Amino acid sequence: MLEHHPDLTASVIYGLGWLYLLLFLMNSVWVWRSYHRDGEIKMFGQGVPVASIWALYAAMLGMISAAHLTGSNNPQMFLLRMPEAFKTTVDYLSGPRSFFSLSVGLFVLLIVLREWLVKPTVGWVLLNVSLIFLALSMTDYDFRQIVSKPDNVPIVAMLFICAYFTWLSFACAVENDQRKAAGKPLYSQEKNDKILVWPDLVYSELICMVLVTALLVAWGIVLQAPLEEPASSAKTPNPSKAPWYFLGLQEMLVYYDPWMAGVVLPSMILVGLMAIPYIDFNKLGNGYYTFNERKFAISTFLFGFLPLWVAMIVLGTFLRGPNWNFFGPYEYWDVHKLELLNNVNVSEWFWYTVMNTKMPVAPAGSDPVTQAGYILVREWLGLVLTFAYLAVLPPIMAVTIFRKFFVKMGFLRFMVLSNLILFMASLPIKMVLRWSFNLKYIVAIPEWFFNI
Amino acid sequence: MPATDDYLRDPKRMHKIFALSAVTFLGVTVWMMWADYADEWRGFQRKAMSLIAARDKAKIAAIKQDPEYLKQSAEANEQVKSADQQLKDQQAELDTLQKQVSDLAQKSAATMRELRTKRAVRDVARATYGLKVRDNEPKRIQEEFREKYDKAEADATEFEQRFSTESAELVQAKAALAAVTAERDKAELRVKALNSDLARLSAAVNKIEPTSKFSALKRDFMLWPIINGFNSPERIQQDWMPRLEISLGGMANVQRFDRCRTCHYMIDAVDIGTKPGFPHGSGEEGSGTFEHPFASHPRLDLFLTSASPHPMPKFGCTSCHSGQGSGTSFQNASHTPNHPVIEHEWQHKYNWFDNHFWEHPMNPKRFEESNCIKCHINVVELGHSPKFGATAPKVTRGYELVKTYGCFGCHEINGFEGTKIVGVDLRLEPAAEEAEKVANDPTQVAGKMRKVGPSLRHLASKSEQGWIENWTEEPKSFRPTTRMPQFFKLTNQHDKLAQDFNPVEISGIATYLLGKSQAMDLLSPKDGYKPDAARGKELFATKGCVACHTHGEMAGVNADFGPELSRIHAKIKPGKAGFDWLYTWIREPERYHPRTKMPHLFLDAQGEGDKYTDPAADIAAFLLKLEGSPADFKPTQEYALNTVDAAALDDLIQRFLVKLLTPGQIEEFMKTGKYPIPAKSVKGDEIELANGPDGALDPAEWHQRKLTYVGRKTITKYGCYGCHEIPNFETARPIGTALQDWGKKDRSRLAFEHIHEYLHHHGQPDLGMTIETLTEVDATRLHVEGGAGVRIRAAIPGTTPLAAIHVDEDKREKDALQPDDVILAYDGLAIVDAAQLKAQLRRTEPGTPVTLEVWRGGKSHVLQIAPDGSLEERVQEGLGKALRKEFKDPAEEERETSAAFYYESLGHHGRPGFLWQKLRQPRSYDFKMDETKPYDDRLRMPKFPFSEEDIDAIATFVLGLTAEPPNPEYLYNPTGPAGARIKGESLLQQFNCAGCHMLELPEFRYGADLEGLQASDAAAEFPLAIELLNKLKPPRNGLTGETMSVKSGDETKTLPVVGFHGLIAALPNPDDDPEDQEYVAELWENLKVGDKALFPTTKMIFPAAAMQTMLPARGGRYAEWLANRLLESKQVSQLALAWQASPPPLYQEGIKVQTPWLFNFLRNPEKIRHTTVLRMPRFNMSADEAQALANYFAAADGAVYPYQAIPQREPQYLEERTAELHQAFPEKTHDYLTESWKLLNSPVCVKCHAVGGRMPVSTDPAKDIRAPNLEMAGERLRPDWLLLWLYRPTWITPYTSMPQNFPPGKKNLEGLFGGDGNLQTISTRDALLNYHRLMERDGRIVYDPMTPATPPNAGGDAAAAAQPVNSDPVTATKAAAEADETGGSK
Repeated sequence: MLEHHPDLTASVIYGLGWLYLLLFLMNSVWVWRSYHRDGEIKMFGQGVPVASIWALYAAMLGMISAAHLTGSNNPQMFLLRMPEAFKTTVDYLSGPRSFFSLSVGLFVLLIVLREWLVKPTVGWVLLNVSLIFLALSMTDYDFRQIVSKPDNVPIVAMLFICAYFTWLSFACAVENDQRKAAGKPLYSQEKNDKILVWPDLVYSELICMVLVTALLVAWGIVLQAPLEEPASSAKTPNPSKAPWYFLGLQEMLVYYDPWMAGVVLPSMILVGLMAIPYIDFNKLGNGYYTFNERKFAISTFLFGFLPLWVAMIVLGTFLRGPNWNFFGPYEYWDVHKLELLNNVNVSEWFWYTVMNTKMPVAPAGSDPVTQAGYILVREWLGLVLTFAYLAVLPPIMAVTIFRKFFVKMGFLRFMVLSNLILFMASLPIKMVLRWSFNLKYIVAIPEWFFNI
Repeated sequence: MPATDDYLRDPKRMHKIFALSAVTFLGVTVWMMWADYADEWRGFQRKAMSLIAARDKAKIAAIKQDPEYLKQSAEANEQVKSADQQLKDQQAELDTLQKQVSDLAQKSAATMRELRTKRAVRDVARATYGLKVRDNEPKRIQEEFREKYDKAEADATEFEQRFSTESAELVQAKAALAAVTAERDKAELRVKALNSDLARLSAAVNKIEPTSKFSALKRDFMLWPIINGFNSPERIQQDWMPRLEISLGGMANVQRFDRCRTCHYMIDAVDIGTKPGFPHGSGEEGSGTFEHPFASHPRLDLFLTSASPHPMPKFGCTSCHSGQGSGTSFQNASHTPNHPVIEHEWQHKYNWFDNHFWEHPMNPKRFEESNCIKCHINVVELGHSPKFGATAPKVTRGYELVKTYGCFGCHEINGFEGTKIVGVDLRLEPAAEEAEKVANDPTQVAGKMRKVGPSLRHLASKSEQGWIENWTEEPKSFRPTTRMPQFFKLTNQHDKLAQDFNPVEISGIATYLLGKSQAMDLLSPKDGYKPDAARGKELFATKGCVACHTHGEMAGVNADFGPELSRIHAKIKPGKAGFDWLYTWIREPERYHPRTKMPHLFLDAQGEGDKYTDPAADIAAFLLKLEGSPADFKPTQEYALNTVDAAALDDLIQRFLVKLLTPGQIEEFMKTGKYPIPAKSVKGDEIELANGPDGALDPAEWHQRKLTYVGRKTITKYGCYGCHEIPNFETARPIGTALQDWGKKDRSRLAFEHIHEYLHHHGQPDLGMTIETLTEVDATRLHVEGGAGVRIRAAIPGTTPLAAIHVDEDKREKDALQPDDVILAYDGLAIVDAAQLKAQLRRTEPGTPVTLEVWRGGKSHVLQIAPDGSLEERVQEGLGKALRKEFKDPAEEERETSAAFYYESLGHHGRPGFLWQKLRQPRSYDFKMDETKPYDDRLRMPKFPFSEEDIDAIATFVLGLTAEPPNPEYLYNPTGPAGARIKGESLLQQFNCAGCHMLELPEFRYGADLEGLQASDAAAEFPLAIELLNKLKPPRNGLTGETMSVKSGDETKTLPVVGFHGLIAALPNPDDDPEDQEYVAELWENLKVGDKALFPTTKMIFPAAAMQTMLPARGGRYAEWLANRLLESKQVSQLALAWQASPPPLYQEGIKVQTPWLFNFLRNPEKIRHTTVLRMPRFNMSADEAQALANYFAAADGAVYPYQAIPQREPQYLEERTAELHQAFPEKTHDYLTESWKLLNSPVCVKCHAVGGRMPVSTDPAKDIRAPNLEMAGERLRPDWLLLWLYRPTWITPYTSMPQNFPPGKKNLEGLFGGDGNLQTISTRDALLNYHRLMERDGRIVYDPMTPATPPNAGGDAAAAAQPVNSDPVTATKAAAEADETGGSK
């Protein structure tokens, strides 16, 4: 009764029982599929059907499920939980740096290992791993608190959906690429997968619509919308979070001035997305899945979408806690945790550290023009750097790594592309600068509400 | 590639899937509707309605079985029947008449139908004509339409007339019919009246359980989902309080909607009067009680009903209870469990969880009174209301504790925002220089509270350094009952740093206080006067000291208003100086402090020569245990001075200075003593350092200066000036967190720090071993002398026994508590049982050393331990016991579950838990924090001697302080009598009036044998006296409505309980046979028991067995004690005389005295009575306070105030009386007042009273008691009261010695008013009221019918009037009595 953070309660154990039962059923189906498709592997000197391994695994899940659903509901007696060592390690490794590096790393692996990843068995194993990870993690109080918040449930679902569709598109793309390499026709051409609008498309859509509506209604009944405290100007919630789909933007606020993170960068995203058809010069890959023919376009887009958007949402939702501090997934959201950093502006670094002098400050009472002059002098390095980044870098790119692009696109289209890419890159660059040098702003002119 | 005509999916299969998904969708939709429908409140409402129906059915059954009803109803039915029978004889006539009525009705109805059409036609014609006129149509057209109108009008008129004729005929016919059926109609009406209750109840039942099948079907239909949206019998019950807003966290205030009645359906159901219709209880079958939510509110006289002060439509529910009024489920309403055991139950029953998003959760039962103070900002009326009793005793107790212990000295409780009232106001009164500014500022209201501690302005004249240090360090070591909290030796002062610094700080405080102390003019007893301690002791008892102070030598009375005085001799400074200080304090306390609470007791020296006594000196001698002369006084205890470590002193100063000076400056300063900043620029406490003398550094002065500075800094730090007046701190601000809105303080702003970790292992003083009260067997086995104590049973497995230090005469050894140790005493207090030991432990600060007297191995040892245990363990154990229902003592269960509640609250970062622990162990929040924070930032809240129950009460009060004022119309801050009562009540407390005076008499309730009660004989009294008695003391119904069974002899009788107010005259004698033991009490009120009137002074005698309860008097403990003491010490011979010698009860004081007189008396009390052994002291009362108190007494008794008319002084009255006099006694020529003056100056009054310029002339010194001077009666007493007093003094004060001077049926002084006692009484009263006028006009006279005395010719001679006239003749003849004119004349 006085246990304020019970790691396990009877209802959690039962809930996990149902989850394991679902896994058991899923894998039972997989056993059937595997029996028909996978054939045998050599083990102990004889051929063993791969399906038997799956069957063993499914049986184990079935037993675990039965144990959850029928066994003791005394949490103290319960053994199957996420090992503490794993939790400690994950919490220890968690941090915006490692999280971001990890997500970029995974992104790279996704591209590099795509041909291996799209194998159904690999996909299935990954799904199983992620579900078992989730199930084990649910035995942790803090993880459960944050994941099962009614607000956050859709985000968990989104992760699986996102992963599935990425996997699916890569599966299709890899197949087409392999066909191209082998000189075979594309999948859609060979299989002639055109279908009738009625009834094949519209009827299916209708059924989907009905089922999804039913699902939403059921969801609405089971998971009640969370009603939190009345709004108060004197006491804002801690942490104050944006709606989940904006959490990526909110993460930018950590690194950028509100003006940049809230206005400029989102506008650039919208404009950039609109501009894609006009700057895309690659005629290949129209109307079918492919990766090899559109390496640059797909990688760039997915970089912007997966590590910079989806991963940021995950970070913002699950890993940012009170005071916008970073918390490991198994860490208690303690308001007393302090993570204060003394961040430094480029101008401060230049004048104090490099020049070892004071900053130029306009004499009191001077006219606006003089003040502006002083400010520009104070911030000259940041301004120059920014200018160089946006104006000098594109021409250099045009003559170096993007030479082919520049030739094909022409000046204007190239400048648009390069600036969009630079803007996209500015977020990870700023992150790295913050983590490496405690950099606050490159250009800091609070007098004009202009910080970069 | 062209598309094929093949379908991708088999349409048949698609249809099936579609059908399935559609069915799923339908199912989900139904589920949604069901989820919407299946609100838990529906179930509650359904059950509530069935309970109501069941109750009404039971009532119907009861009525139907009531023989009276059956009899009457049979009679009435018989009447109807016989009337019907009679009508049968006139059947033909009846038929004709009925037909006639029906025909006529039909006809007139038809006419009416026609008439309506005609009227309409006419109205149209009129309107059309009007339009033509407006449009200025040609005359011709106008006329045409005018004609049309005329025609229509004529048509209508014809029908009007026809209708009125027919109506008249119909009325006539109906009357004719009624005349025939009159008998039957009457009988039917009676039946209807008899059945009206039944009809009402049946209708109510029928609404819930309709008898007709169709109605039942319709009702069921209306309950269906969806349909129930349209006026269903089950619906959400909503109360809307637009003016009583609810604050949503600073953004918006919204109107309040309470839907609580949706589930609490019968909450306002009354039975008879304001009795709850569905009383709350276990709800078991047959108990007649109901569980929530089916129970009614227990106090419907006070809440919800329209006649109560808090009617439902105006107040709703959540304004008092809090909670989410709009919620319609158990969880959404934010119910709050009272303790974790209930919480546990709720979790299982209702899936309860703590919804911390709702800022106003319902108050748990323990805080149900918290919200009262949002509107009742004066609080006192919640503790004492004449109509409703103590309605919120707990919050009142909390309020009183806060007031008594002076929490507001450090924690401002500001009830005002500018001049707008926002809550309870407990602010210190502004210091002198500020007071005027505030008084002249219309935007500010001044605080009113005085500092609770004594002034320290003249401390040096009272005490010395050693005692001050000792006291400051640990006040309760000197005086265990002190209210002064402990600042040192607490949990955050056990480390090396604090151990080094504390002695320096304590020494600094004493040095500062003594150094800054100002000289005061002390009084001394007369040279050579030898104070007598024995006499002093008697005076201490009789002069009222023990009304406020406790003293070890005064047994049987415990007053805690002032400090306990038993050990004052150990604290005052030695020699004559110390004696003189106490002498001055006793004699003229205002010399020490002009606003002290200690009153001026008029203890002036008296007598001459050998008889010269100085009571103040005697009392001082008693208190100081003085044997010789004042100069020989030596305190009975010496106090070692703290050793001040010079290094620590310097270190501390450097720590203080580090925020103000540079390291270099500090170093320089510590070397030279020259403060780097000139004194005139220093603002803070550093002025003590800056004000050094010029020249070379004198080490002694330097040390003293440093100590003074540390003292001043420490006083600033601990805020000592919040309670004490201290020089230089007059305008310092309170140091603590303001509390006026603490009740809504954001929980995230409370510093919980490591409290949870602390309470895991500490926080509960405990021996760490199981204990039990010593049993007889063990006592014999262990040979324990005395046989009482607490035995240590065993060590708790897994814990090491508590370490102890074995203290022997000269050595201290390590030791440990062992099983079979018997604890005999705890810190000097004898321990007899385990509960007592536990209670002592709870009051101890964990970790502080405690001395135990322990019986071990056949002899007694002294062990010193530091009891420390885990609060968590205590709570777990308590909860386990509560869940297993193992508690036998409800008080213990309450305490343990309370502790669990607060502990749990702490765990959830709740305000109550924070407060609880803060008051239990104020410094525990520094656990492990003191290691990392600067020394100066350590917590400084002191430890107050509060019990856990006290803390619970304080929490109730503090949590109600939210500074969210309701709409001003809801504030209860009345003017007029109710306001005067409230102001007065707090002044009564402030001046401890109830210490001496009884404000309400005790009430006795006993089972009365009504037959045996002897009614008072009204016939034997003057009719006017009875009338006046009933007017001034309206008879009160003595029957309480309860009954009790009383055993007398072998039989047990059920007797009605009678309650009355009075004083005990005799207690049962324990030596008597139990059968014969009885109480004798004297009735003080005018009581009515059934039809018997019992006048005051009736002796109520009843057997001890019949006593039900005795509710103690309100106040007056001292008066009782003194009366008993005087009687026991044989200083008086009777109880009545003892009472006369004691402070009088202020029973119905309001109808007695005139308000202006009382005002003056309170400001400057003159001596009234000669019988009392003490005098009313003079309090340092402001004019406002005296006025409020004077008004209070009048308001409390419903008397007129502040001005009273005295009609007996008005010419018209006097002329009428004179005319009557002349008519009755034509021989008299002088006026009425002269006649009255004679009466007053007759030998009757002067026997006891000084009157008309004469001192009393006693005829029988043994019987006649010196009574008040009558000179003041006319200004002091109200006319009606005075008259009743003269009629029958004992009716007002049963113990008085004043006789009934002019009793009925007895002629006395027949020369005046013909000896008519009634007229004489009135006349005496009138003379008293015109006393001053008569003294001026008629002058000093002596009327003595017995002696033809020479009239003193001294009409206007004031000098003569002032002289006592003891030599007046007192013998007389009967003849002289006739000569009425001889008594006196102009």
